[in-house]
Amino acid sequence: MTTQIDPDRWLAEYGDFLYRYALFKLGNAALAEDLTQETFLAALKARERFSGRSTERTWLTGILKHKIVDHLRRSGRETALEDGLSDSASLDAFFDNHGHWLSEHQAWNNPDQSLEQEKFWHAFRDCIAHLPPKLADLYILREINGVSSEEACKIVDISTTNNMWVMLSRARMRLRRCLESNWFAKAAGE
Amino acid sequence: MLNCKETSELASRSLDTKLSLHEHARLLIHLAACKLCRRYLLQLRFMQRAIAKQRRAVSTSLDPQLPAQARKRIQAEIDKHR
Repeated sequence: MTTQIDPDRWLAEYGDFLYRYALFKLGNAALAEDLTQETFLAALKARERFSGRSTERTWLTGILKHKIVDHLRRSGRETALEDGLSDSASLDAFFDNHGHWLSEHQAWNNPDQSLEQEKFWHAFRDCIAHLPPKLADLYILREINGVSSEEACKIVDISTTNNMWVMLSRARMRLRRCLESNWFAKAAGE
Repeated sequence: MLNCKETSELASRSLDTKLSLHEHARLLIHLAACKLCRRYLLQLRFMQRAIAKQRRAVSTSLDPQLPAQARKRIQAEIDKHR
């Protein structure tokens, strides 16, 4: 199999994909643009080293991922080596020893109405950006960028599909609670 | 019978893949008896629907596409460095 690298197609094929990933991960559009650009430039420089073992997209996303980590480190934001499967990311904070819910979540009133409101999306995006880093990576790739399980596991470095499901479940649990307190509880109180 | 914690995991997985008949039945049995878990699954589905909708959005200010200006600038940079 020959390895095809074609920078002429990069922006058209992967521009939105990379931008979206950076945007949700960082919650900042200007920064997401900059890091998308840096990713393409770094890839141009390193194109001799593209092995063809992964797809072009997986490779580019890997570069962007490193750019984001570098950025967060430079700006002093934590980049703990939390792996998404550690105890601190588990569901223990949500259930008692018998597996019962610790608190009763409320029904969401007319949630579809929220979709029309810009503030809702800010709240949603904020909640995603505050997930533990690896859970955020996985959630964005799967739910927002719509990549396959296989590609997501490769990019985020998850060893089995089963681990991926565990991590998605943890991400959704946190996201649900965050949305409830940052949006639905507030909307109900207004 | 599944407890709520196990059910929440199965509910989440049902958004990612097709459950086996056995798992599906266990999920339904728990949901029939548990309001909080029904609510949880509905809310997870809502979040997935919401995100999918945003992915298709093309005209809101939250449009998750690379803006045209940035696209031009980046293309110029790529051309310069080739």
